[in-house]
Amino acid sequence: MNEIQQFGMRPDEKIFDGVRINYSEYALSLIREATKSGYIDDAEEAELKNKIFNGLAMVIDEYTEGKSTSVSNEKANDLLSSYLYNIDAYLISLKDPMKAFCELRDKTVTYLYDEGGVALKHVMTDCTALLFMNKKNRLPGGSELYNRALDEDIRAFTRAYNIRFGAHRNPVVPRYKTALSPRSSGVVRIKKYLTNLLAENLFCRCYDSDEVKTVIAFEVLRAQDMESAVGNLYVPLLRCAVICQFLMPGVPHVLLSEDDVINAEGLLDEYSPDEMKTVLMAAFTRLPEENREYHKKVFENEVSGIIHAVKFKTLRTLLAYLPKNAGGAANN
Amino acid sequence: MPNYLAVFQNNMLATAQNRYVAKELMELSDKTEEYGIVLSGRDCQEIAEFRAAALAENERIEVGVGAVKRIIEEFCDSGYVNQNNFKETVEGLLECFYTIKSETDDKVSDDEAIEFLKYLFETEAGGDINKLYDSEAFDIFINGQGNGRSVRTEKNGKDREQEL
Repeated sequence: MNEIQQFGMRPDEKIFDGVRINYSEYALSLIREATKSGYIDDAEEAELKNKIFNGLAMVIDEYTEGKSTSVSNEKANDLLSSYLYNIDAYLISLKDPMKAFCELRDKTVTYLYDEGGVALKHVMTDCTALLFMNKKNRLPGGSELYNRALDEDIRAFTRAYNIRFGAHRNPVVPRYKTALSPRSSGVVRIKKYLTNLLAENLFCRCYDSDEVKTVIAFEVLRAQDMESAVGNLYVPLLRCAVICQFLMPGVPHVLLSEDDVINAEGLLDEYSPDEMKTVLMAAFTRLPEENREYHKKVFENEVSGIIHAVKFKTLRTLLAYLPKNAGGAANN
Repeated sequence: MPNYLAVFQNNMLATAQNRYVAKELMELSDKTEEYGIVLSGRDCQEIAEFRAAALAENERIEVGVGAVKRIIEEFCDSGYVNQNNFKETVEGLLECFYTIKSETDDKVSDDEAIEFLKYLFETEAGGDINKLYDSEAFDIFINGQGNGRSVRTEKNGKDREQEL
């Protein structure tokens, strides 16, 4: 990834006495911290803010095609959000808060806005590449929402997305949800979404495609039985993979039998909640290492649910499995 | 969506903005003086402050000097304005101008709004801002271009309140 492609992530740089910068309001945060640290005084802060705000005149002029010098407060805030999003994109792409602050102070707002647009176009390009990778690694069968996300929603987003006047907006939100929801907005959100989705898809690709297909089919059927929408497909697979590692360390399976689930529930129930968490996390460490941090975050969210389910003998509601006599990991 | 406007709209920035607008208006003195109208520093400052208030009242944002400059340039040659009434006329026109912009949801461009105001000012209103604002032509212009809200109804409501 080049430096612009990194946009949207949170590098660990610190600025002005190690104060952390708010990356969702990068330019404003830089100004705030520069003032707090005494790097600039109140008058310079006001001057910088004035410079940024005056740039809104250029945006309004461009947006109204020169027909109006004023807009409603609502529209002004919308345009201001997009304009700041662009400027932030450029400043973050510099990957150095001090350098970013100097650029903010020394360069014209037109330059900052335009360079932000260039940075965002690179992010759009990354999204195209990520979409391609996701399609290449798509889950066998998938679900309606999953397939629509890959085949329709992302394309609809890129068609409707307006870098200049709506960079901060999400004109289309993918209907399929990843296990961890991106918290940002605009195209950066889509990039994070596609990055998360790829981590999920690649995880699933580590396992036998027939087993994955069966787990997915089970989830689809269960959703139909419960008359609910099919949720995320990777999370049940992750749960099953961990339980398989608990039962059979080192054997890469995701498909459990009903007996496997009953056995797992019985064995886990021997432990206290804290011990159970340790045992489950130990099983987790035996999963494929790629995108480990992402899977760890997801699984940490899942652990308490699994512990609760074991205690209340409802583990089977969290796992996909083959009914009795239909085979499973223990039979392989 | 965060309210970024609030970050930029504080007293210090508002004062700086008004000072900037007043300074820009002072530069129109040469033109207005051709028609016997002298814009003092105080006049310009008051117009700038009135403009800010009119924008706030109409829930609008205008960065830079904006329409007020065009209004002064366009109306200083009118036979109905003079040294005594020019400042008040500009202020009244600003109110009308931002009303048009807001009520029509920006469907009317600045040029169209100013052209229309000039026409009405010179004809039906005969240089009287109140007459202009209360005229049927003003309402028709807004309702014809805008979002269907009836200015006339609102005005009638006000009139009725006054009568009561």
